[in-house]
Amino acid sequence: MAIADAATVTMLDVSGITAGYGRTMIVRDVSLAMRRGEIVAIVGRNGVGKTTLMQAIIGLLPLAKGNIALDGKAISTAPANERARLGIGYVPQGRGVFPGLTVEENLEMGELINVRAGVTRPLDIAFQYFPRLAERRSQRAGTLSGGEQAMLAIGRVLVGQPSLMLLDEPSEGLQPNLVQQIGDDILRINAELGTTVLFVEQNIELVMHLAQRGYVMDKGAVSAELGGAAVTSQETLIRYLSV
Amino acid sequence: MDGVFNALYQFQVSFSLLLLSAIGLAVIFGMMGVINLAHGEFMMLGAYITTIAGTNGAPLALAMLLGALGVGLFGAVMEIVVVRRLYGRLLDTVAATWAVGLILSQGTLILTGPSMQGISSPFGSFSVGATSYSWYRVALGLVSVALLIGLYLLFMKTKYGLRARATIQNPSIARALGVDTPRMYTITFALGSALAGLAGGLFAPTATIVPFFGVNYIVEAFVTVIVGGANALVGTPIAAALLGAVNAALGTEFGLYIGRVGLLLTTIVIIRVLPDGISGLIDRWRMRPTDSRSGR
Ligand SMILES: Nc1ncnc2c1ncn2[C@@H]1O[C@H](COP(=O)(O)OP(=O)(O)OP(=O)(O)O)[C@@H](O)[C@H]1O
Ligand SMILES: [Mg+2]
Repeated sequence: MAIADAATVTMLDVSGITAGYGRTMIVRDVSLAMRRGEIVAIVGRNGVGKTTLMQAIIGLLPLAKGNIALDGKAISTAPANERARLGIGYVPQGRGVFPGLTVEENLEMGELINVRAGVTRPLDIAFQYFPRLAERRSQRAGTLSGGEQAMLAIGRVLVGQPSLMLLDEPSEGLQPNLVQQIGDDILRINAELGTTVLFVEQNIELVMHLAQRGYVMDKGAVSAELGGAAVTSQETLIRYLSV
Repeated sequence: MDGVFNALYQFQVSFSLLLLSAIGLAVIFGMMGVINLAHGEFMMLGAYITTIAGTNGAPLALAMLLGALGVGLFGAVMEIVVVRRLYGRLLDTVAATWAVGLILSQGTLILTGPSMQGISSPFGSFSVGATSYSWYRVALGLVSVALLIGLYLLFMKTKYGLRARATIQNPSIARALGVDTPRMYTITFALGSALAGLAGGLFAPTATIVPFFGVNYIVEAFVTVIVGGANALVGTPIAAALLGAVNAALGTEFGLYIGRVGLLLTTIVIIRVLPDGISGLIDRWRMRPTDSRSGR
């Protein structure tokens, strides 16, 4: 009984994972857990291994040690395409839109996400949150502005209605007003669709705006956990992020 | 009038020869970045399967389809057993596919001897003025156009096509979005192989069936792919048309040998000016910065 409860409460369970490139291990013994519907931040300075951790969670990098479970089901050895189909929507650092495909085709590429859930997935859901994408549906993604590409990358995973969204520096390269707007969009997605959100961010305002709690990474490991008060305290965040 | 018809006829003969020879190679190179040096032998294999099926009573169209399917299946197995292990190692794939090609041609020589009774070309001939022309060559031209339309629809209008194009642009992102990229590569390699097999089957009635059948087409295939660039759908047909025009014009005027020299010289000039081929130029043009609001 208790086990069943734990499984439904903890949606993502990362325990003691080590991962890297070839023989160089970058992420070392990282554990984190997320409950359904939470918004959790990963903060840390440049090069500490935040992107590497995200890639290990989505499955683009193999684990040397440790385990990952999604909804109580082990996914440690599943390839990235299988993890996506189980419900993880990954928005990589730098957006990763397909430049030669149109906006509409990029969105269609999100259809396989969470395909195991078997719901229908019209592209409209992306247009609902990002109406600008509708105006540009037949434009090639490579010719979009940085802000539009950020919307497209999020809209693309939204099409699959993921249960868990992984966002790697959604604010990167955006003007302050756009950062604010993307933050609002993510909050709306979380509130209206119930999407659990794990995001990497160095923009202090965005962390304060979005996060309910967080983890600090340093040299490939989790060096601190931040509660609700800490992630909304500018001073605390500056202390962890300053060089 | 007869001269104009003759020129058009020769052009479409050259065009379909280049296009059919190249298309399978172009799909594999364009969608996977793999240079399949067994391409000529895949065409040979298609010709053999078609000929064997045809001489054993299969209708010609069915025999050709069997050739395409057989080689496509062979390609799928080869991708899983050999090519898959060598992605990102261009020279290794070149060497490995070359080796497979050698095994295929030598194996065929051992199994079937130096030549095989061919199948005759169907449909007969017709005359315009004093010159006689082959209906079958005209049919090859039509098949080339139909094949191009089919491939366009496959790559631009189906889910497989979309996922294949996404995979070539960014394989890890495609994979992180749920695409089984290894399977995409197997399917695409099989498709390119099947196209080579089909081309071999289509040429079988016009050629002698020998283990080194592929040698007759491999130069044409490579120059067309090099001139066309990485985009098989756009570059290959334009390259086949351009080179076909040069080849036909020179060939009709000065004979086959000069026609072939002209083909190679044109290729050298084009890759000097456009190192990434015609489709490289077109892709750059399509990705040029545009501002839709200013209405330029
Ligand atoms: N493909 C790779 N091969 C080898 N080493 C890599 C590779 N990608 C990243 N690294 C190394 O791993 C370390 C962590 O990189 P990572 O991209 O995970 O950091 P990050 O915290 O996301 O940094 P940033 O904030 O700049 O995005 C760095 O030292 C980097 O040089
Ligand atoms: Mg990073």
